[in-house]
Amino acid sequence: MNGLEARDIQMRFAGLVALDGVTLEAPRGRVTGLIGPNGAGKTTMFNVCGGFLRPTQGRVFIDSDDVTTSSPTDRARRGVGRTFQRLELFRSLTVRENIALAAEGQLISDGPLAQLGITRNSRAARVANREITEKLIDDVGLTGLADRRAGELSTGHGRLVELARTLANRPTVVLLDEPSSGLDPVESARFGAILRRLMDENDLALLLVEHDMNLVLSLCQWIYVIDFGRPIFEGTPDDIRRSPEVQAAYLGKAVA
Amino acid sequence: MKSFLPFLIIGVSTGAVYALAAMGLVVTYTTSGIFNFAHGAVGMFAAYIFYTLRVDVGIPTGLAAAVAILLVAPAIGVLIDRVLLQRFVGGSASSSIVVSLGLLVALQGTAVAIYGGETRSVAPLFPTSTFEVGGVRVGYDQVIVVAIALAAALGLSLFFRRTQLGLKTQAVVGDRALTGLVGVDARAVTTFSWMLGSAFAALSGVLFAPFVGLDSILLTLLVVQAFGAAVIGGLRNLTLANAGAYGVGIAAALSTKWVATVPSLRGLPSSIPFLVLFLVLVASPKGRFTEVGDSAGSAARRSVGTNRFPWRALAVLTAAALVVPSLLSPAKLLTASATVVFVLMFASLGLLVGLSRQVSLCHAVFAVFGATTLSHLQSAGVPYVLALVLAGLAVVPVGALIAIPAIRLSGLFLALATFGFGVLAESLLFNSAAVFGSDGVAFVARPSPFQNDRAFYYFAVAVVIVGLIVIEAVRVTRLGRILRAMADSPVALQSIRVNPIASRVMVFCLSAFLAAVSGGLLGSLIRSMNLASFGFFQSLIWLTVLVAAGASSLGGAVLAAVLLVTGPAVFTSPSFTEWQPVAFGLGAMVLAQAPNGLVGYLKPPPLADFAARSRWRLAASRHRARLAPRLEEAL
Repeated sequence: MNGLEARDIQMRFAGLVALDGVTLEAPRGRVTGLIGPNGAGKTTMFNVCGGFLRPTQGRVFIDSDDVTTSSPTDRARRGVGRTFQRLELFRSLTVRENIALAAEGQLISDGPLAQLGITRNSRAARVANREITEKLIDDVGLTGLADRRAGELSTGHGRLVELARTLANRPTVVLLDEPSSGLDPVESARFGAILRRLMDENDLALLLVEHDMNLVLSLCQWIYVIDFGRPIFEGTPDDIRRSPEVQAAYLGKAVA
Repeated sequence: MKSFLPFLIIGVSTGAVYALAAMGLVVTYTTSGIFNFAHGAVGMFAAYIFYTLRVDVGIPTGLAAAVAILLVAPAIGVLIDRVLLQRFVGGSASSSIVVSLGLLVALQGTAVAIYGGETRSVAPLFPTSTFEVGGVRVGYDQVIVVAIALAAALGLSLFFRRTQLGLKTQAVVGDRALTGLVGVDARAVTTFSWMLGSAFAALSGVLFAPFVGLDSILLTLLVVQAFGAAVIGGLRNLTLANAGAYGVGIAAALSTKWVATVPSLRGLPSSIPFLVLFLVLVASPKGRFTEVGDSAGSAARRSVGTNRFPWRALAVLTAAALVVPSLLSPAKLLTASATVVFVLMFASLGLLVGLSRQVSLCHAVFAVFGATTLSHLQSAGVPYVLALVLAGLAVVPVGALIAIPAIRLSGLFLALATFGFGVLAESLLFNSAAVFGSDGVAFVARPSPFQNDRAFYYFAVAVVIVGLIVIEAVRVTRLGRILRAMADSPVALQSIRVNPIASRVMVFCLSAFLAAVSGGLLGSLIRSMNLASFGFFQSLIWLTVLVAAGASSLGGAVLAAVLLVTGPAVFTSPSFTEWQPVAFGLGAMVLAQAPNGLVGYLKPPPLADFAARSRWRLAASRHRARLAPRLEEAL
């Protein structure tokens, strides 16, 4: 399968079972959601997919290759891009520099000389990097802020910079960790609209870990629901809306 | 074999002292996550207190030792933890390195200012009579020292396994955040570990003093032996650190016998700990040394430097530098030249410390190598400018050799490796004929058209300006962007497939190159360079003054040069020079976490701000003026 696949993941921290038998597939060209109440194991699952945690059992595949034991760096090299729940921007660089650095990422890892700006790569590659940078700035609607330092921006704009930076690195699998945290409902909706447009243009496997139900239901084509580390439901947004299990998990939580 | 036995015995007894120092270092590092470069300095300070109490005050030896080790040292430990490090939670690794180095410089400077620089001999603590075992004479004092060290090691291990406080300490080492949840006060445990670590440092200092004499630098550098030993245990394992300490002690003692016949290698014994450290670093796979403590989130980190090339600052600086000679008496011109050259030196160090968050503790060594290489090239008939560039390039492979194995691991290990290399260079390389020649002095000529002081001043200004342009250019190019990105968010950089190790090595090499060029200029300025010109300790003082002045901008480099070079020329009283390093050390401790040292607190001149705003207003009003008619039309 093209994209990300995690099969039968179990994760134990000493005596605590954080995940038990969770399976998910995020194929290319689909936005896949992973939801669950607080403490359900979403972040743990995200970290297993990103390579920050090694599962006690189960396997992780990218484009059908087993990457269960490979490091976050290895996975990045295989085309896994990610954003961070707590905004991780290059605060002292401008918006454009943030995105350009990611666009050049591949080129830079080629060798030390490239870091000094000396590259064997053709001018075409450099032009392509610049074009991608400008296009992404435009796509996420940050043209007016392109020369501002990322550290000066609001969280809402910061999330967009992070998204553009992730995409500028030309990933094939993208993991978004709670992109709506710190955003108000309007910003969150705008983020969703931009993300939907970008998904249409790029052939990506996108996994969204999120607690904002509106964003997930409007964006995802397939949603996995976990609670207490166990899978409780999967289906389309409509299935989710109708599912009594999901309602119970969320409402039960709310009542408690 | 028999001829080696006496050296083996010396090795074991000095190894015992190293073991005590190493255990203290490991205890504080594992619990607090802060590597205490001032560990040896604390031991040194305690040894001086002990000496004062015993000799000047005249209280009994045992009581004096008890006061120094059990009272004064733990008090210093509490001070370090509660005053210096309290406000430090979540600080970056490089700033905690700077704080402990500031402490080292301040303590050492205080000892010199109070007791003077010369070595005092210390009467033995224990009976020095000997007995014979298997045909070898063993001193009772040696036996007692080893017994103390073994008892301390045993006591420490029992403490960790059997006592409530020891178990709590282990819990804090295991997971700081979790211990809070189960009701252990991690802060109290950390404070206790600083008290314990300092007491061990003091014990090793007091025991060591009778063997080597009361020498503030020698005792301060006990930390080198300690980290050489501790690194064998990955800085964490007490048993391995102990084994490493005896290994280092024995290897040093045996090499003393061996080098007795090779005078040029007489510094080898004191270089053993560094060689051990270096071998461990090279041999360690990436990821073996993960630093203790968690890194703060990006929100806690501050941004460094600007993205703009400081044309204006450079122009002002150049203009000022050109005017200065006409305002000064010829006698002051040498000071002015030295200040100018030090601006480049500090800017090269600032590239490393301010931009890349790396610490070099051997810049003085690079400067010396630059001057001596220049001298050698001149004797070979190479024209001056070419020779200066080649002298700079010559240190690049040296820098790379030190930096690559260390940077691969972490910032702390680069600091350790450069610290160790500085000691090694001074004790081993400076003594060899290859550096200073056979008479210990390298003569450095000035370029032929710039022989007199005034002409050479202008030459130095020209070279320094070129160097500053290179440095500022690096800040605004891709390399600079990668380094700033690295400082802002290492995890994000990793997520976009940029490998910052190559950038860090490159900037380290560039910094070494410029330091060597500055060293060459300094050599030409004073026309010679000898062993005493720049000791290894200078590197530490340079780092502290730069951090105090501001490591992230050109202004900081200028201020640092003025504080270090111009200050003593203006205030010539001996007490100023004596207390100067203490002030730098304290300054570095206080300002390690400031945005950009002292310079960072200076507001930009209001004029610049006003000009920028009025230009913006002008543009806005012009825009409105152009738009207005069209608006009216549209309406």
